[in-house]
Amino acid sequence: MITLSLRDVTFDYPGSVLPVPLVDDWSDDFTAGSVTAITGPSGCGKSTRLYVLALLLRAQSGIIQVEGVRVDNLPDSQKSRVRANTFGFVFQDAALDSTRSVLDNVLETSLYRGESRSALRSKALELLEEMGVDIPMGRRPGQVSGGQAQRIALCRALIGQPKILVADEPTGNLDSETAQAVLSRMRSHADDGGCVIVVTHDQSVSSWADDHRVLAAPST
Amino acid sequence: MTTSPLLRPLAREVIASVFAQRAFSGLLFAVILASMVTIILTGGRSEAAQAAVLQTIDGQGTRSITVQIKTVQAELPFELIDELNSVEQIRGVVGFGPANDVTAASLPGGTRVALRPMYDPETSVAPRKGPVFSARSTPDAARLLGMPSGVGTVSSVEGLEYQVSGTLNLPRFLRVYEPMVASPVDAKSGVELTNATIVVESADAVRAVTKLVRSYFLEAPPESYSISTSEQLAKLRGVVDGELTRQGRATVTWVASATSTVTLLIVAGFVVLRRRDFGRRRALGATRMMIASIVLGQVLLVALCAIVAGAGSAILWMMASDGTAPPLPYVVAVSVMLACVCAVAAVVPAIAAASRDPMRELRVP
Repeated sequence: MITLSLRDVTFDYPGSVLPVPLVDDWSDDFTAGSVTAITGPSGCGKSTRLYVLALLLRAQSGIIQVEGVRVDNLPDSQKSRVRANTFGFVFQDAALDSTRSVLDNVLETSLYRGESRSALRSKALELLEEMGVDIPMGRRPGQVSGGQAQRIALCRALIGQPKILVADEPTGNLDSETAQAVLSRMRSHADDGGCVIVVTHDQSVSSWADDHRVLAAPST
Repeated sequence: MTTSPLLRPLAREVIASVFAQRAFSGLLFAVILASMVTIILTGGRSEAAQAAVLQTIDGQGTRSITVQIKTVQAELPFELIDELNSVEQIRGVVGFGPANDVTAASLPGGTRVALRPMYDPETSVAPRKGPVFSARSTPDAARLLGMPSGVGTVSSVEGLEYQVSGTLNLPRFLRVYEPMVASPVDAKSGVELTNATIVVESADAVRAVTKLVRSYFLEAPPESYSISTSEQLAKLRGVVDGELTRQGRATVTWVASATSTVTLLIVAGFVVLRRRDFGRRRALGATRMMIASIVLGQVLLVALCAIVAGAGSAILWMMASDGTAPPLPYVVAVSVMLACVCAVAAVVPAIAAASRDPMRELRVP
């Protein structure tokens, strides 16, 4: 089943000097239950594509559909709701709120989805335990290791059971053991029917994925 | 009434953010608290002083007019009292007949006190029982007559007896008549009124009401009556009203402007320092409105706490140091004003926070 569909999507940054847009007439389908890796050399637009399909960047043309519903032309507030309810994000550097506790970070997105924090609390604790984050829940992100921070970020992405999980270099700064734990949890999310899209430089990650998109360097 | 399902989690997020960002909250709290203390100790002190001065002036009867009939060529009919009592700018009118000395019936040689027939249009007159008239005494008169309970019989030098059935607490504008035994009368009593005291709604109305009262005596010779007013006091009151607080209000305006500027700078600095946080929130699904609401809510919550703490501590300080306190409406007004100033100052930074581009903030170079 196709979860995310892109048709003739074009995007370029304002003031770009490239002869063709960074994302040019991009058409693709991402299906439920699969992990797709996007790889390519630096500057080829891997992360840009990830952010375009996740509605963080506005495509200049083309159509983006989530489960058959067009979402690229929605007003900003509705795009935010689509992001909150449909997508889970794992950023390269975890991007946790340094002023809040680990548990608060995991539960943060419940506010954006309009869900009860208290109802999700036990699920958050389960996820953290499953990911091996065995630290006091009141601890701040500055007091945990990089690997733990990335696992906390994955818990935050998964707490809302997103249909689409997007990850930008999720294992880039991790040791092999932590990277394996993160990938394993992403795989189980796909096995549960989620659609997982990963941008990576890591050949082992791309070979681990079900589908693989290799981007070419931009023509200059 | 139902509340938005988002309101409670948003309020919780605001409270959590206030405590999580302690440096920002603490700095903002200190600035607004200092502003509120300054306002109360300057403008509030002036307001308290002015209120005390105005109360003293009002205590001298700034709003009263007294009519006195001197010869039979002028008269003060009961109908005129009724008519004046119905004028919108007049709060009350009381008419008096000529005074007679009375003593307690049980102490014929005791202290003499003035007894006055009194006509108050707002009070009905009890029917007379036999040859005894009814009366009430002021507390001072009761004490002088030797009737501390205010109950007993008094008799006039002409031999008329009055049954005193309790004490009468005169309003402030009639205290010039103390000590007095008042015998309620009406138009059917056959008594002629010789004095009337009128109290108007505001000091500003004294002149207009005096003119009205004077118009009733146009045909009477000027020497047959007198009308005395507190117009000079009313003028003084008008001058004092607002004059004492002028400097205080200028200070309040200055403090509010400075608070607005400093709040704007603090919140703007906070938004710049936390821009990555706002970008992350946008990426994770927060709407612009939600982010602006969180920033504004944080500022308002801190401002309200600081205002309450500032007002409370400044008022306690004033009460402890000189026993005064600013009027409650003044405190409420400046509190609302300061909260609004802080909220308005935070609007532009809140919009800036809501407009952070997630891509710019989250991409790792």
